Amino acid sequence: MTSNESAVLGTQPAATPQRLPAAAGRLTSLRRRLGWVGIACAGIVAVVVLAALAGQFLVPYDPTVGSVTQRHLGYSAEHLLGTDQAGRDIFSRLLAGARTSLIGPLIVVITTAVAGSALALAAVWFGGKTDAFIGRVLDVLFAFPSLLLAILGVAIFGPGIVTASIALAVAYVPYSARVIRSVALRERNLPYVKAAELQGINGLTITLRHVLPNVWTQILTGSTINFGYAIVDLAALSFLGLGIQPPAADWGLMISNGQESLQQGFPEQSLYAGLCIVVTVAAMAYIGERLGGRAAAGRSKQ
Amino acid sequence: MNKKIISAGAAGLLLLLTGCHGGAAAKAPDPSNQKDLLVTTPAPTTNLDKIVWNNNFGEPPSIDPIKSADYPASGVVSNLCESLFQIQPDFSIKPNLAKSVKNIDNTTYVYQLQEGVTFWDGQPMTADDVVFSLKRHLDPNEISYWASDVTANIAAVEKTGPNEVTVKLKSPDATFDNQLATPVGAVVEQAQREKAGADYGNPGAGVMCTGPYSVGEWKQGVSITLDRYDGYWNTAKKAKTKQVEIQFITDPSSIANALATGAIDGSYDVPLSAINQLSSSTNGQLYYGKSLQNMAIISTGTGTLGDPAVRKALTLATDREAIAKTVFEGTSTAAQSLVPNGGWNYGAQIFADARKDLPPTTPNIDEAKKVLKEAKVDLNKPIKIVYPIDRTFYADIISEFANAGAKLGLKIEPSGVPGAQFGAFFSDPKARAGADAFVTTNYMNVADPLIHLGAIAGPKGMQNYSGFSDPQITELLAKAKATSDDDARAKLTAQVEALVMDKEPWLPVVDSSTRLFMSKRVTGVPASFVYLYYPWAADLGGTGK
Repeated sequence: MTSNESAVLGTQPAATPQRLPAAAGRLTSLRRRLGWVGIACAGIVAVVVLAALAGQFLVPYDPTVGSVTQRHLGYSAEHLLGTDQAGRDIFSRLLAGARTSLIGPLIVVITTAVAGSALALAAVWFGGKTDAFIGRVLDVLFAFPSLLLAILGVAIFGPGIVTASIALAVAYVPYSARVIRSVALRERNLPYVKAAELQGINGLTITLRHVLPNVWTQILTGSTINFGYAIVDLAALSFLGLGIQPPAADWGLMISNGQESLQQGFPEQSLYAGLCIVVTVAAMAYIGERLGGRAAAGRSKQ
Repeated sequence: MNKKIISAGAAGLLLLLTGCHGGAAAKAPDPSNQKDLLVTTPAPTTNLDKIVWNNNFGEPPSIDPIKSADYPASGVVSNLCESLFQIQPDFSIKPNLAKSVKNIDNTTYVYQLQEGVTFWDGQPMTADDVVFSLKRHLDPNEISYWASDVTANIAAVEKTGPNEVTVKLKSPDATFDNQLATPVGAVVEQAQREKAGADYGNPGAGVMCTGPYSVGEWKQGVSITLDRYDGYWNTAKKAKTKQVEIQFITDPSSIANALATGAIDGSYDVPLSAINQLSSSTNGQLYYGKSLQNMAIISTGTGTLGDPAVRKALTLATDREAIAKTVFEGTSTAAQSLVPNGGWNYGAQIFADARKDLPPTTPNIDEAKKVLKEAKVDLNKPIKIVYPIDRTFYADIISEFANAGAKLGLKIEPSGVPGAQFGAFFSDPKARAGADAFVTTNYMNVADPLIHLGAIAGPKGMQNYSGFSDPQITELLAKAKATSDDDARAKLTAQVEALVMDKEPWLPVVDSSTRLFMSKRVTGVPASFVYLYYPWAADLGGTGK
């Protein structure tokens, strides 16, 4: 949106913060948005993302290769967290597992955000029968628990990370679409949208260039929260054997694979993989909540 | 200790990272010594009102004996429906519902039936019931899981006297009586079968048999209760326990905990992950028995693994002794053959001697590389091995094969499928499409290597999943089947075994022992692997504790 257009439409351009010394300014800004706990959470997420990006270069051992002659080795300099029941290095699998454990949720949130936004904005713009039709379709999808819908998808198209992620995204779409629709509906009735219509700007342009940017925070916040849920749900699918397939490293799969070892007195594999999921999900959820809370506060001020 | 550490948070985590590694080393028995393995458990001293058992493989899909061809059904049906012959805990075969057999010639068998046998409804078992039951395998509408080359060889089944049935075969089969110890020889009441219609064998209509137990309450998805049949014909083998409730728990952790706490009195096939926990249990005892089971990887005959040289090379290169020692907690031994060690009830010395000529189980990479040079297939194509995802130990075994494969330049890809879907690999060729191999914990129905090898490598064998066919093996199988002298037949069978192991339609992994756990209050069941066709529950009684 150009500044002239903003003036015409009555929307306010984002305030330009006074330039502070670069690093201190960024930290202050981040602290205002997230708080100290949020910064710690962001740090955790950054570490996990780093592990996902560079983990494969950092792993001391091939995370998919082991020998039963090396199974259940204890902590040592060679194997920081010991080995699993197949003799694979647990630390290497945790690092490598970060990638698969994040790629799946990423597919879920992107698919959910795109599909959910498209449906919500179409329903809001066209209204009437289109809105009702989309609403009923979403109601039908709402009737199925998300995990059940994902299991159904995997049963039809076969197990794997992409199938599981897309199946899960389909289950998430109704939740996202409904939230985005409620915010977009408010925007739809604001004077700047009417003004744009009177200017003869077509619906697609108004939706994409004016409405979408104003619901963007909601989409981003929802995606952050969905990311956490998706990690847990995909881990559950992997646990059930419907997601990532062995011998690939994945946190959910590691919990599943470690079940029998748990009983044998070797909890390390399941314990650390579970810990990674809990910490990552908690961090993502906290950031999402903070962003969502600030966005809501901003709106109420407006 | 670990729980407290975890709850203490980060400091505890540090402790975990630096020092505390749980679990004690497995105290393994020595199942490599056949003499160490048990046949029976101590005889009971008291009768009991009720015992709770567990069928670790889950609920039977049907209790119709001709549809009982796998662990879930057979472990239950063995107590309900009896066959003309019966396997004994020492693997010998004895006449059961058939009192005696007379061979008129090598294709005609005349069976005298036991007198005084009644079905649970009190009706006497007649020769007509026996004829009807045997003919069920020949009736395509009955869809017998036991219809195979064995039953296809039956030319006629006739009632030749009030208590006499004659079976005529198309070609000689010296193993036929042994086959009748399986559900091939199971006898059901004709009238009830005809009346039950399509519901036969289901919880609604059930079955009508002559066994020491009848069907009591069947809580679908939970358990089936067997009620003692007080009119059982064999008074010497009358059940010692009034009711046996067989539960269908399949989760290894739940099974282990239920056994350890005494919620379940006993179970065969104790999960491997529970061995450590149960071997030190004060509530009961873990027994290791003689077995007819082995774990193998079945080639579908397609892809890279379709080449016998690849199969042999992979077997040679894989450390199966390590698999037996670690994955199986020392309760198994590396398999030298597809016939489990000791799986014979005749020609013992001949089979034992023949085993000495089979390749050793020690991994030999150099020899494997030499063998692989004979392969005529594209070795770059990955080998996809399918396993049931709920049994994670299979993934560890395939991983070990993948390690060996990597040393030979072969790429092995494990592929997990849900347990319910995996069953189709054994019955539906379409399910096997796209897979190069799939795993099995297989078993011999009876301790007859000729039957077992015929099922695996015979052109129409029940377990020939790859269309495997070798003229020399086929000819020797026929010759052995036509040989009535036990030793002569054993020699021919040993030749078949050597030829089969040279082609390896299946890759042998380990020979298992039978893992049995019983609480302190019960005893008596066979420790050996006969619970699929022997009425084990009838032997269960109390210890007096």
